Amino acid sequence: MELRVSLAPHIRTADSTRRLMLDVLIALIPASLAGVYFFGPNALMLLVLSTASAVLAEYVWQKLMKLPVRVNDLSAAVTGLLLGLNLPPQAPWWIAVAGSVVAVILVKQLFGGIGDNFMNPALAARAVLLASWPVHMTVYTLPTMWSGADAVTSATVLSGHPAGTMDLFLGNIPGCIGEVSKLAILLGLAYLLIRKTITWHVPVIFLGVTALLAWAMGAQGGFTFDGDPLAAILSGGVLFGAVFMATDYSTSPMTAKGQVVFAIGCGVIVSIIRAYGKYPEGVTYAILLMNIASPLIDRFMRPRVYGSPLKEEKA
Amino acid sequence: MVSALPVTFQGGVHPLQKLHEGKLPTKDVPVREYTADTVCIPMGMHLGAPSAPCVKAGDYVRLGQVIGEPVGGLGIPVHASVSGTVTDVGPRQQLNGPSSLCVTIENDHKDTWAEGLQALGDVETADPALIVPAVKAAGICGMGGACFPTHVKLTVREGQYCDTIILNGSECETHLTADYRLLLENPKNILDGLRAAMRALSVKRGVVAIEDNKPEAIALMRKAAQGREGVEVMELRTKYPQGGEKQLIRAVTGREVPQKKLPLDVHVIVLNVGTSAAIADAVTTGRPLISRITTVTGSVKEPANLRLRIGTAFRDAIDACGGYREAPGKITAGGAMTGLCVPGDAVSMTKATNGIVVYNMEDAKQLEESPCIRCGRCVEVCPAGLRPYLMKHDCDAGDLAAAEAHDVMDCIVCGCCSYACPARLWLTPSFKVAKDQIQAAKRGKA
Amino acid sequence: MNEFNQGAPLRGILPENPLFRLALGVVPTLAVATTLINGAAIGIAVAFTLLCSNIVIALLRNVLPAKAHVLCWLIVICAFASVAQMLLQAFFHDPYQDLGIYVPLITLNCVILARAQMAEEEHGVFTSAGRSLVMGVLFALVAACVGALRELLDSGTLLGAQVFGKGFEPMLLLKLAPGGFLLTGILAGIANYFMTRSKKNDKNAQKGGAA
Repeated sequence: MELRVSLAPHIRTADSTRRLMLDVLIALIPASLAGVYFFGPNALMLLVLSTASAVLAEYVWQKLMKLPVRVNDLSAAVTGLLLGLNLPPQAPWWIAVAGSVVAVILVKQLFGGIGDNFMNPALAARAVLLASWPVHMTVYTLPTMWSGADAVTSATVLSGHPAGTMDLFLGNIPGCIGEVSKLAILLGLAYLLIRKTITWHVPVIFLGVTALLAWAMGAQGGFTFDGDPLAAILSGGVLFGAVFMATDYSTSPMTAKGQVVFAIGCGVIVSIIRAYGKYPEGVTYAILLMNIASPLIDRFMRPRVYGSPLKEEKA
Repeated sequence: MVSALPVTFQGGVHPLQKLHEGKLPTKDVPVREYTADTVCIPMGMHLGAPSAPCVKAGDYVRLGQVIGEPVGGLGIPVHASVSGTVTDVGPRQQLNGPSSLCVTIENDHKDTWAEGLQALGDVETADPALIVPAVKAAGICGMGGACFPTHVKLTVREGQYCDTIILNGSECETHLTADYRLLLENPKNILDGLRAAMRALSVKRGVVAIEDNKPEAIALMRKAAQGREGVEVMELRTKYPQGGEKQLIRAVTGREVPQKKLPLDVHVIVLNVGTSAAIADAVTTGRPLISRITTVTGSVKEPANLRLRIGTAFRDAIDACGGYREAPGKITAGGAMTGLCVPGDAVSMTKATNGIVVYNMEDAKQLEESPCIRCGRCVEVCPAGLRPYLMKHDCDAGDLAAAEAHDVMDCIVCGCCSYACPARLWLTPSFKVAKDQIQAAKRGKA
Repeated sequence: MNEFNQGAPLRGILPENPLFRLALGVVPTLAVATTLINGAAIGIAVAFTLLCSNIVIALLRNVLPAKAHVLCWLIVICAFASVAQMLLQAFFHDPYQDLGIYVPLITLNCVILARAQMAEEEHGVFTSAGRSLVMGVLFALVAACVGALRELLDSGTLLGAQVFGKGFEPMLLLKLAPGGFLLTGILAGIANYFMTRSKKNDKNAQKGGAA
């Protein structure tokens, strides 16, 4: 009889990398459907193209570099879909492809592949797209409810387009494909929390700090304490960013207390950019800046080793 | 005195939670005696130098007779677990290595006890000074898996003292129900052993710690503990590895064992409930450790809790449970989180074998590693507060100094990080190897 | 530094390519090599300064005071950088406008400083001259290439002429410094990839030969 000899432990949790990524994809379905419903066929095309080109880019790269091909861990698909959801709905097709290639090859694979990227790939690609083709990336349109007929350009809510709270919540506003429907995003958040794919710390604290500072900084930008916290978290990409982008594993801190610091930082930077910066929306840059700070946060926010001296004993 | 607060520790996982930690097949099966026709007793079951055999082929030995003399400071005697004729003294492949010196005895099934076994009497009246020597003479070592000589554990050096003895009744490992059945079927013996140890070291407080997924055992123990001086039963929150020594001490006393120190440095001694029962036997009857309860489960036809004679072959124990359900893929001594794989089913179970788990081909498949995704789950579940992802990186690079700087020596090799890792990284094996290498290097220098 | 003195001057092409492998002279490339002409202009200016200053330093190597030799290098390099600036201003006025402050900054270009050190250590004016010529020309070529690539992608032109059709949307990021970083990094990565591949092939060939 031949017995296998392996080292303990002999059982594993059912949550593999692929399972975690699949859960994220499932959580993104409501936001994707909502975006396609509001903005029509071009949005659907962008989502499909961005996801497909991300997977293809990773496949080609890994084959070219003679690395093990790991596209079926679905991480490239997640990156692609997230990038797609961050695009303006009437963007041309090659923006989706270029963005996915930059995200997967430049930001993720060149730095070591999954787990080694130091910035959120989808968000970094979005920043590159914004700097490279600013016109295509800042033209937003009013929702057209699937027909896609005669898309009318419009400013986003944060640039002045008026919208009531219900519209903000359901998504009947101009914006990026995935960020408009807050209801859909919250459904995704609920799924991720139930499946324990992410913990509550980053989304809740990020949004809380943003809301708090929005209220404190007031409508005019001074500290007048009369701002609208609800409108602040329902406008722009902060809800989408807090739930799907800031919670990316490899670019956020490894410990819960580190993630709290990370989330606070994100909230603060978003609020500052929104109130004092020249951009109407600051979520992309806030999350990217905190991504870069994550290793530093990890250096200071370590777990306490059992048996190591407590602070009082050290002194 | 009874304490009802469920207490716990940082980190930890809940393996096989939906399947009741794999304990369903055996948790309600009462312990059954099984005596094989042959036993092959290794001389090196315990932590310490292997004992020196003092019998040769052809000798007739009685049950409980010394067949291996202790060697060195951590040595304990090895006793015949059956009466019969010695057929062989020589190296065999066992759990601890390919050429482990063993004494093979052909059982005559008469169970004739050796002469001269000295009982010290009831634990409450026995002379305390004679208890620890009796423990050594009975060949008792930690039966929870480590097999550390118990008489050494119960030795308090100059400048140290012990104020609490904790009995580990958590049995947090998956699949195992040996300690659980002992708690249900023989609570008096367990408490006798605890009292003997307490009296030997003049310890005022003895705690039997049981996880809260064993309510019948807790109730039974509480009843049995009434009237026993200084003994209390504490209910702990069910979480793996609650039975780990350091986690147990933290949960029961609130104290932490400092790095590089031992439990006695925080005035606590931890014993397994099986060890405690063996101490009771040694004191009250003078009989040495010759059998133990082992859970035989997994892909066998009738999983059971067997009382096996030390040195029984795995194959015999499995046959006593109806044999394999299908061709086995792997067999472990111990549960799924820390069990040791055996190279073949002819190896003998030892004083520390608390379980024999058979995996079929499907369950024996090794999962492939994929790249770390920096999810942080390993950090979240580590009971020792370490950062496994960093230690793995160091181990992969062969950088032992960096691994040591990241506290790999504090790793208790519980398996929580590997269990939780979505990338299926072989974290725990890397750390075990690194720890062994670092220790070997230190010994080489000294 | 000594290994750079050995071997053929042609090592400057890939193994010791100053921009991609030694990471010297990155600043002018990032900042001003935005078109083919600009890249070539700064490259030629650097090459000229490099060659002349190397010759002079090699000639003076036994005369330079030990404790102040870096200062002396700077003076020599500064002189020739000023000459280069005046020549550019006179004969290539349009690129000169684009290059702006980066021409006087040639003085502090690390390629030149590094070569100055080597010139001092070498034994022979002609060796120094030869090596610095090669290095300078290669730097100029690389700067021109980077400039050409950037011009192609960020404006769709090459030497001012429209290359791609109307449908081409230029990638504006590359006009700015971050784009320069990205492009230089990618090119350096490609260069390094081929270098390590050829090193691996050499090693394998050696192993194969020995076995």
